[in-house]
Amino acid sequence: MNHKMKISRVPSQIALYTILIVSALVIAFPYYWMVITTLKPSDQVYTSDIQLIPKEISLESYRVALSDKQLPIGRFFVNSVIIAVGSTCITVVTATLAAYPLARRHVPGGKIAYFLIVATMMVPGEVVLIGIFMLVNSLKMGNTYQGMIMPLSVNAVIFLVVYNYVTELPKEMDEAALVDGANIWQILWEVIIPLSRPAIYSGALLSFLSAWQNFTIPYLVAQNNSMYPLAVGAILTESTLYITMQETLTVSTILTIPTLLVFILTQRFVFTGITTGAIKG
Amino acid sequence: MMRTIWRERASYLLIMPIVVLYLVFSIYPIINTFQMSFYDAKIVKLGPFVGFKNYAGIVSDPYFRQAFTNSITFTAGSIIIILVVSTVLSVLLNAPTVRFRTFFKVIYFLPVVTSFVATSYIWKWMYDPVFGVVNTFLGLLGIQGPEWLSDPDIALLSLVLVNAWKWTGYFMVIIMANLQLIEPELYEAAAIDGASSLHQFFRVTLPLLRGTLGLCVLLCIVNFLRTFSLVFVMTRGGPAGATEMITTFVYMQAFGTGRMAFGLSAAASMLLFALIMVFTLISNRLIVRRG
Repeated sequence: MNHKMKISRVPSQIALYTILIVSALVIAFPYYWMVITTLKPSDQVYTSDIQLIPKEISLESYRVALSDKQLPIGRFFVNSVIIAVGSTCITVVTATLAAYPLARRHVPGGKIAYFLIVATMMVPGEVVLIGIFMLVNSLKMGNTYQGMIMPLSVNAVIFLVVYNYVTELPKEMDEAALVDGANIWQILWEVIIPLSRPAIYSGALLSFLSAWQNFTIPYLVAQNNSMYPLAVGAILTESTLYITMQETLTVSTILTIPTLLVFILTQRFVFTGITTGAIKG
Repeated sequence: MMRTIWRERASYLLIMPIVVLYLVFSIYPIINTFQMSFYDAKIVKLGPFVGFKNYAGIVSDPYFRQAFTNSITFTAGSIIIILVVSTVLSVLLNAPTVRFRTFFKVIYFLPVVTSFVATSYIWKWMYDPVFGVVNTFLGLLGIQGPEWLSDPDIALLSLVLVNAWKWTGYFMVIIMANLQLIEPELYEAAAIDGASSLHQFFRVTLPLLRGTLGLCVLLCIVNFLRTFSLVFVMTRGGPAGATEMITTFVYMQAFGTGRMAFGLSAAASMLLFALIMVFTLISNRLIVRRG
């Protein structure tokens, strides 16, 4: 019986792995193709004789892209880091501070605050393009880091990641501290934050990844090379003379690698963040 | 009541930063946009009050109507493809015999952490009619590939496919987490009743996933209706408006072609917001009723 089952399983196992592997190839191939295209000598890029495995590897396109005066990639990179790290800090700190009182204490009006935070999910930056443009300019934040960081710090999903986690913590922990006469700051600092560390890491990662990828807000706010992050820098390659698709893909590769690396190194936290944020989201 | 408020004064201090931040940088801009949609606004000047003229203007504009339809088609098409593929992948990956589960999960998730700008350029290059690798592959199978981005009948579908590539892993992770909550006894009982795996999928898995899939539909709607950079980079709404979305329409009215028609743009933004809100409330209602 057992033996027979094992045999009949073989074809379905083959079908299963075929689907999984083909899907993985469809997902992964574009990355391979992007990187390979940037590593070919440029005369072998624009040819209909497509080489899946290049005959020759060359770092020429990176040398050209990195030395292009119209396209200060190093600067773009630094800007991306500043914007992503800055908004991550603000998002995570504000979410963590508010999560404890909203999840655990009976605060009059707390429900309204919760609703207001979650409702912002229906107003993503793309929906209020001009509203944000006007606001940033009237606050004199046009073409500044804070002008990009502040709108990007509004990310209710991160709040939900921390909030949902705090809700699930065993009540005894903070109630015991309360009975011992600890005040709200002590409970937050010594009980809630240490216990919520996994959720805070997840929230920070998700926040960093989404701010790094964002194009719309920086495109709206930044006005010159010294302020553009990589996501905007990549699109400028199109409007700059003499820049080829290969160079655009080179910038795209530089834009892509950091988030992929961060994700691969921390995938466990990213996955739990995605699922805890989506429970009640 | 007043005493509770006073006792919780520290709580208010903790809640204040996030509330102020979200009010200023998310709620205020939408109110501002709402106000602007009733004015003949040019750049930063509010201009004269015009009532519903902006709304009437865009609703009667065939170009906007096309953008409206495109946004909905794009969203609906993406939802169907993505939810079917991600459900199938997560059920397969969740099979007890599968090895290298994390490896597959990580691979499928890569596009989720890839910038839409990079995604768009990669695919633009792969879709290229002359040097593109997609048509080369199709050629090997004896199929004459279409002009993915310049054929008005195909372009929107091409974008849906890229969107599916980008998002499938995200929904797969959510569905998988909920699959793991289903009691194994339910499958054992079904197996004893002689149900095949396909049967088990339709009788056990799918009904228990209804709430989750409802939530996914909601997340899809909010995320896909706001799609901007994908379209902006790949097609700029072309060819001939075939991929124009509400978001790109909003952008072009305000910042493209030197028109600076902020009032019209604001009205289009508000319609997009209303669309998101209506769909969110509907699917929210459905989730609450089911779950």
